Amino acid sequence: MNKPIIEARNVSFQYEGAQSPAVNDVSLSVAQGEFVAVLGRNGSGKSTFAKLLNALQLPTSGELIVNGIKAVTEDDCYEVRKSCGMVFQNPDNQIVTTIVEEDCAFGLENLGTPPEEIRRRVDEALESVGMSDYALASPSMLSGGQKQRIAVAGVLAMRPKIIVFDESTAMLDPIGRRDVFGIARRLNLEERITVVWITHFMEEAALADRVVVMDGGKIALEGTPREVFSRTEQVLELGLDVPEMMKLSRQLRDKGLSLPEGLMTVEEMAVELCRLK
Amino acid sequence: MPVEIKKLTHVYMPGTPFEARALNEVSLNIRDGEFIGIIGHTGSGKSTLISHFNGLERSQPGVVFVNGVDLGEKDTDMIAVRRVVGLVFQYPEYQLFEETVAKDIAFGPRNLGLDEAEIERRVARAIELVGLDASAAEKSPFELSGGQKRRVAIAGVLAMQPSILVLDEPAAGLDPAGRRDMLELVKSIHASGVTVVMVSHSMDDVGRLCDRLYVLNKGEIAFSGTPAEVFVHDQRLHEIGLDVPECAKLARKLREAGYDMPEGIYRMEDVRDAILRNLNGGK
Amino acid sequence: MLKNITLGQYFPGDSLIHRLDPRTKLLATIALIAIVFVSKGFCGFLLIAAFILACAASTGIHLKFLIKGLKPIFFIIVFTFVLNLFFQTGGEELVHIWIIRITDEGLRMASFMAVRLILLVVSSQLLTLTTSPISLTDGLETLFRPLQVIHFPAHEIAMMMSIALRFIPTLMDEADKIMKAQKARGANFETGSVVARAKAMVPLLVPLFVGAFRRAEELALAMDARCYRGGAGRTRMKQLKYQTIDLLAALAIAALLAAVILLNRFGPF
Repeated sequence: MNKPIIEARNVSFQYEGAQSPAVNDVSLSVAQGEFVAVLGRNGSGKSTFAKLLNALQLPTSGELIVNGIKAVTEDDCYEVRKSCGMVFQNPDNQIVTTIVEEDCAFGLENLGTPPEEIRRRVDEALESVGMSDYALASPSMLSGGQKQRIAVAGVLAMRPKIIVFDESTAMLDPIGRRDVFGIARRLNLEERITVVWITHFMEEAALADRVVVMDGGKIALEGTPREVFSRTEQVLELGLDVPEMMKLSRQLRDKGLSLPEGLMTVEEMAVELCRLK
Repeated sequence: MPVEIKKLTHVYMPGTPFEARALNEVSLNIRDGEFIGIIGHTGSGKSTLISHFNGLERSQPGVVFVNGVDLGEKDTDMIAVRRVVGLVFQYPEYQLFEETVAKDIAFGPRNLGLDEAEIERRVARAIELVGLDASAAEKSPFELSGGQKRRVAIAGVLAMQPSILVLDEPAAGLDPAGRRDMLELVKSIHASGVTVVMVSHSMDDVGRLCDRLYVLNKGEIAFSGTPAEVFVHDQRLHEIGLDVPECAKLARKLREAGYDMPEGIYRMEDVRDAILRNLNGGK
Repeated sequence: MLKNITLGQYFPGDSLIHRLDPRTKLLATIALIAIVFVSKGFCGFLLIAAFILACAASTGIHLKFLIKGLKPIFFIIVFTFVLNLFFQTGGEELVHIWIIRITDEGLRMASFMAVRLILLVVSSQLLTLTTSPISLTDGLETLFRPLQVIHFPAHEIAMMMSIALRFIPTLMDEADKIMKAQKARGANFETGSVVARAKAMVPLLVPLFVGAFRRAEELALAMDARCYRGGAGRTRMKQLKYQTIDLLAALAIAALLAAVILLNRFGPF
């Protein structure tokens, strides 16, 4: 196992005036290069947890170390944000400028990077998300999926070690969703960028290295997708869903077929059923 | 015939460099009491299409008919049409504006010119229908959770007592439990006797709920028919970026591997039973 | 619909004038406006008009765009003309009907004022037609940067302008959607008295404002997440740089000024 890049020890966070903490005593360690999906119903604390990772909020108690930095001062926060980028849910509300490439440059401009360096990294980042042809386009002419790719490029240009996606596919159609998830997965595999992927879509979570389910501000379940989704009843109780194949294999097992536990994809299921025939 | 559309073509900003053909010779029929699914991507023309159902977009005469009334005629009473066809847009919670939930729901009925007693009765009924607590009536809609806000918005349309309800992605952006509840709500509205048209990206959802589907691609109807009839075209659907339900994919794979699976099968129960028939030798 | 409204009527192109530094264009426009005021006779105006038309022609912008831009102020031009025509009483009398008296001096003054107004509008139009709003903002920010010494918020103003430009299409879109949704609930935005129509705007404006605030909050968070901390220490990817054409533009403007001054003194009319 690689060394942890995110280390949360008993982290809690309570909004001012709130009755109960939004994040409650969470301990979690994420290894460098891991792809972790975070699930949980609305209000389970996942978005707040994301904001803690990016130092947009600081824990009220506990210790959170991101890329070796424990954010205390304002300068620490900027250091954390530099190494941990964030892509939000609404594609319209995170693009700052009227030209695609200038938006990608925004983060680097804030860091005071020299112009030639910005130019190079922006071109690279746009290339990486397949949006080079749109460098001079206006964001308002792009589809939701394309806007999210621009948002990813803007983060990528800052060369972060971690990218947190906070329900970044929730407002997209299936093609946009597939594109953005595909980019995140590729960046994770090829560039070894650690990804924290917050989502409501079980089929996305099924492709992660690890799944963390939050409920009431706490971690309710944790493990590989197979381990987590095998606990079907518990997952449903937590307001989530399990992949269709998992449900089907359960029904088939109930009817006496000898299928192994934890079949998640159509391919796996087809292979097992062909073996039985 | 509640809704009948004959070769509807819609061009945005004709004669300008921004000219765009949103719909091209789209024809469809919706019968009383049906549950229709419309599937397509952003930009496939589905928003333009449903805007024609209640005259928000106007066509030439002789193209769009609701209960036999031609919406293309200049002197058609649009308020009367909007009383018959209720339209719930995507993320409808963003249209709420009143101080209280009850007042917001009353907006539609009031525009219809109903008397106060009738309005009050309808508001109470709509709140009940969407499964909100009666105590929510006097709350500000802005205090509610996202899912509850959406229910208020749907109640606002239901209070107009439409006989046809069109919903654009009613479950978008909700968590899985919220999705399930929302689809249950749509199902119960349909069961109460309303003709329902649901726009969706999710083949799983429309497959489970709808009687008939229309698949829109680039402004044209690519496929239509019962879910089974549509899902037969799984490869073409995949090409235009739409997926068939997981169980339909499994059925195809098994068929290719020598299983005897009926064409167009997509329901989990049906797929399960077909698999069992194959393995248990028809028992 | 609302989407069809074009803002900051920028006319994309790649002409010499398009390629000028926005600062040059801003300063040149100010200079051009000053030259219009310097000119004392029609001779000067003729030269300025020729200069502006030559510039417009070189950009490939059709004359009708310039004329269209005069439409909103057409009334003001006519008003100025009429006012000067009737109330300038010096000079020889041309027409005298009842209490209306038109003199040659009045006619000259009225035409002079009207032409001056037209030239002022057309020259500033040339700026907005050839400069995208965003580079205009950039130019303004750079020009005003020295004023930061006296705490003039040049960066903040430029940032606000550019965010406004970015969100105008989004909010237009949203207004369109909300309007449709309320119409579907039987709302009527088109007919009725002025009061009734103003009241009918509430169901549109409240959700629009609520939405705008929500967007603003989310955008602020997204900017924070990308390490935004104001103008201090910020660099820009695209640096504004003066080039040879900027020098040429400056020379052209200087030549025009000199010619107008000479025409003021020696011009025939």
